[in-house]
Amino acid sequence: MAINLTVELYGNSRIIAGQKLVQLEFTESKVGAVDVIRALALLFPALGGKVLDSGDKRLLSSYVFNLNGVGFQDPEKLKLCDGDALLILPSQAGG
Amino acid sequence: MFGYHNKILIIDVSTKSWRWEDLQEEVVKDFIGGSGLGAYLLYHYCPPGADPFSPANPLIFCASPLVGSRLTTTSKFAVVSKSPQTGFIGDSLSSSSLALSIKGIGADAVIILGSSSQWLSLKVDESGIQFNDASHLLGNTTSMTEGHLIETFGPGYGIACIGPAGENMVRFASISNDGGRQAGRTGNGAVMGSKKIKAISFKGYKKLNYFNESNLSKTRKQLAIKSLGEATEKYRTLGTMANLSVFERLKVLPIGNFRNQSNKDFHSISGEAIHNEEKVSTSHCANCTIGCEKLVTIPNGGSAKVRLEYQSLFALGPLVGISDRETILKSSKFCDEMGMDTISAGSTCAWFMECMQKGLLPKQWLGLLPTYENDEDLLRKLLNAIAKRSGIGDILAEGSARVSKEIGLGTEDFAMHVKGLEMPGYEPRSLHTMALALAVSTRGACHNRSSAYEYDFASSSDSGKLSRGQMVVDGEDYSAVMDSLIWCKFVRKVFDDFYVESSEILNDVTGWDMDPNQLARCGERINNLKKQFNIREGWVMDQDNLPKRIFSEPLSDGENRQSLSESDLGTMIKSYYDAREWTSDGLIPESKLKSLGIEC
Ligand code: SF4
Repeated sequence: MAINLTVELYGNSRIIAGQKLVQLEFTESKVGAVDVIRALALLFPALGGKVLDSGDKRLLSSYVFNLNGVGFQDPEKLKLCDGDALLILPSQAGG
Repeated sequence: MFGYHNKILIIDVSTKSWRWEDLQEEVVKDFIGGSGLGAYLLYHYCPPGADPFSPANPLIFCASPLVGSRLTTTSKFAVVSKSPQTGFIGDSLSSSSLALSIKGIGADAVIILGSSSQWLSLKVDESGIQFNDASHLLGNTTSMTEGHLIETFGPGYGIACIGPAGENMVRFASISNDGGRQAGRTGNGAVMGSKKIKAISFKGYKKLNYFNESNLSKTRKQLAIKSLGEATEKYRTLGTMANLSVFERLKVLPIGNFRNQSNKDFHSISGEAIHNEEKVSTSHCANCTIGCEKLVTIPNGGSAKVRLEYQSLFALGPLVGISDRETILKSSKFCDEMGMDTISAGSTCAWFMECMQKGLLPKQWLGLLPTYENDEDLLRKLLNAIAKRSGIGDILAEGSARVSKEIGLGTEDFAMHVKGLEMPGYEPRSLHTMALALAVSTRGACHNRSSAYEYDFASSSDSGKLSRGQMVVDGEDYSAVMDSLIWCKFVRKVFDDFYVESSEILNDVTGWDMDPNQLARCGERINNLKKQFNIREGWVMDQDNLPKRIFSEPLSDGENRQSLSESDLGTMIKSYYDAREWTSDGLIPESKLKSLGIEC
């Protein structure tokens, strides 16, 4: 079964990509952070070095994942299900 | 002593006299500078029980050992006095060249005592101190005042001034410097107004020696490079405005006086939308490589720009239920020009608007209301009335805590403050570590003396096994060290090991041999002294609390219910007192004070 995800972009990631939401569809049955980053890097190469490290397939330390607006997630533990919203947020909360 | 002048300048505006006192090395080894040294000086120079508006309340400007070192983000100073909002310690930080000017006159701190019978503008430079008549400056906004003084005195002066709100002793008046930067919270501008000081201009170039200039020179370069890396990306791109859309999505953005019922969409006031749709430029404090300040050109405002921060955006927008960008930008600019804290101003208006909606205003107040067309118009008119203390503004200038107590009728339950200081833009029903920090903070509902929200925004594996009490203690002590050295909070993630690196830097500046644990202990000592000041001034345990609304009105979003009960908060407060090794009543045992070397 395909997994459809909505990736919500915040901060500079939204400005660089020029959009708030990105719909991704995966045919694999298991989808993790690496897969999302690979897909985003293909769609928006300009995110490389600013939001994500396309070589290491990781978010830069200035960004974090949040699943469905509820829990902050360690990328390696991220298990995504069909219909999930994955938020990419600036990690520095202060102000 | 390297890094310090070992001098405090004490100015008495009652007698128009001044004197210099020595600053002992033992004191700065314990309290460092900035907010820590300010707390020490307040404890010793403010007589117990002094009214915040009495001549006896000292208004203290503190530099720090890192001011002048040209390390990134260190051109900062603290302003400390007994707060007219809380009756407890009031301290606020501000930045830029004024910090260099204060230190440049050869002082590590300047204490202003007394109260003048006529309005004064003080000029402090190598020729001494002039107590000039300031009557021609009265009614001037902060930028007009600064502009006038620069024109009169010429370049090179760092200027601290108040606007009309400070002149009128609006309890949440701020002190403005360097083109609109604000020492915003706790009402230090009202204390300055109570002394009838419109402005203080400092100029001096006294040089300091550093113990290990060659190490410092390397550190300067390394930190400058690191400060432009991943750790500060948010601050450099959108500044703190970036919080708004994130907080709205995570449901931690307080809306409508924390009722959080609104059908409004705040997208148009998100940092991203403002960045894309308005003219935004970046500004830096002196000696800062990061440049988090976003100056937004105000639509239909000529060429006027506002230095926009998340807390102002929140307090003059969602908190008062307003999503109109132009209104928010203009209101934020207006508060800066009048010299008022945007958080307390917005929160007091939000409380008032809710009272109006619920028909809870005393009859005699209704006649004092301005006529208005809509909420946006009402906000603008209320802010104007508060700054000038005209009509209803004279009442609201006392702040939501005092006014709600006066009218009663249950309005105290939704006056959103802690100890008299209005709450910042963090939702305590969802952010429980932050809720604890807001409840126990010595300066009231404080947005940046604990960074406790970081634990709430971390994944569970990052938070580890610390109790919430310990998390807040660690955050407060860490912040106290940052605010005393003083580093900008936005550089904090640049350090791999904050205490190790900061103690090495402090040793390079001073020639001391302070280890990281001793530096951390300074943070603990500073927070204990601040608390001891509050205890001396009448603090009771009930004041470590949150407004009733937080407990009685859970946030509900379909199946997702976010709440915080009074007993949950009580449990967290107990864990905080335990972590601090205080009594179960929140008092500091004699033995604890002794172990920290605090003499009271
Ligand atoms: S990061 Fe921002 S607030 Fe901090 S020193 Fe730099 S410009 Fe000033």
